[in-house]
Amino acid sequence: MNPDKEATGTPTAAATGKPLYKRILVPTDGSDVSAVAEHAAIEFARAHGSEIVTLSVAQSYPAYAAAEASMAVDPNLDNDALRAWAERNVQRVSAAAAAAGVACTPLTVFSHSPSDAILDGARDHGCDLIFMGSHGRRGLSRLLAGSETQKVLAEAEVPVMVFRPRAGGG
Amino acid sequence: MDPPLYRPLFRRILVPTDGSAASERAILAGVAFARALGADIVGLTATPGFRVLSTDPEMIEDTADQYAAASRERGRRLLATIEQAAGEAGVACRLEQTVSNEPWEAIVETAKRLGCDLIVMASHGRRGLSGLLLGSETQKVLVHGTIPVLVHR
Amino acid sequence: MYRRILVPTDGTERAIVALDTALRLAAMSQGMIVAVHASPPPYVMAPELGLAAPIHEAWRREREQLGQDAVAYVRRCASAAQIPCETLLVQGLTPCEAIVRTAREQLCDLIVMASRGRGGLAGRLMGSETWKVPGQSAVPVLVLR
Repeated sequence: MNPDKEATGTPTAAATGKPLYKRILVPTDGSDVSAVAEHAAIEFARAHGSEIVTLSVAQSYPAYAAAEASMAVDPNLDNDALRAWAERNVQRVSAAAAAAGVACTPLTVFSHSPSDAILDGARDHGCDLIFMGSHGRRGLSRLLAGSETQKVLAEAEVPVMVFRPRAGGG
Repeated sequence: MDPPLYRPLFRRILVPTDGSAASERAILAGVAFARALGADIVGLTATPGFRVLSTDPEMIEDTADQYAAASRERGRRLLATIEQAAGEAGVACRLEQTVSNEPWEAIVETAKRLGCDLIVMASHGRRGLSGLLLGSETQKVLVHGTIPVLVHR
Repeated sequence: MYRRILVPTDGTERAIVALDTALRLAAMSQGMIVAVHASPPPYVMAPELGLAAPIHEAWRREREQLGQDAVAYVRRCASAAQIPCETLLVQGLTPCEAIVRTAREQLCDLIVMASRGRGGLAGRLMGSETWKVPGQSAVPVLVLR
């Protein structure tokens, strides 16, 4: 098989046998919009021969009262319950990845800052791409704890693909 | 002079000095800032402790005492600069001398002990290389300190 | 005392701390603020991207939107405080370069920044781009916590 180049002169992933993005970080929080990002990541990985690292962050103390309303975790759960919740999230993603023939590393971590945990996870596991769901609130419209997606976008050194809820739903 | 803000931004400003030209610029900036804010200042020197180079006990003792005396005198002179600048600006001022081999530690500890809420210091000190990197003491104060720092070139 | 105050914003709520202080200082001197957001250069040059081009393009758009939202927020706060405000979006420079250069070009006399609160790990803090600003800036830098 010849490693042909495309007319543009750029080698394709298929031609070189190596994916352009080797390892994709997929944060998961069990929400609908997270599921959209997870599905897209698995499809992308399958098509490009990438592997996935999926991460669920258990926030170790209750979120600020004004935090994003669609946080999928009940701040009253104790640590064991939080851990179990995070495990369920990554197991679900792992199962879907396995069904698609995509290698997947599940991670759960306790952190008071999901964005830090995501950025650390990407760095520590050599991820070169992040697919994540955003709960859709743009800008600093209120004095919130701040969008985790914004923080990841502001600091990530690798591309971040953001999936948002469809208008009127999600 | 305008009255101080009802809820002052900063009340007590720590101004460390090592006698360098950069320190002197930082002193002037710190005093001017204190004046504008209605804050008071704490001037601070942190001279290194005596380092034993000889093994002769008597010589060591004499030299250590002489060194300590010379150190205190130098510190006094440096602090007098701050006191004068503060006096001219009408800013209340307190002076602190410490002996420390880690100036950054003395700065952070003094700020905590005296309830300072801002540190004004030079980006580079006497020993520093100016340019792309921050002076090591300033860098350590930024990393290890917990209160705001105004870094002045 | 400080009349043209630069407030870098990375689009996150860290900017709020710096903005609040900058507005108060500007009010004291009847001065103004300049808000700047930097979108760093892409880490891979575009002609080599090939398959990745759509991803980088989407990412670039997200970051651009983040920057626009960030400076719009500063503009709204400054307007509410009745402090004159200019905003700048800088492309293609690192955050540190953008901050230092903008302060110089806009004749600012102070930069107000919030330190990164990422877990208090000294090594990582000092590795951040923005920590280079106090060392490189000719203009005084107020680092808040």
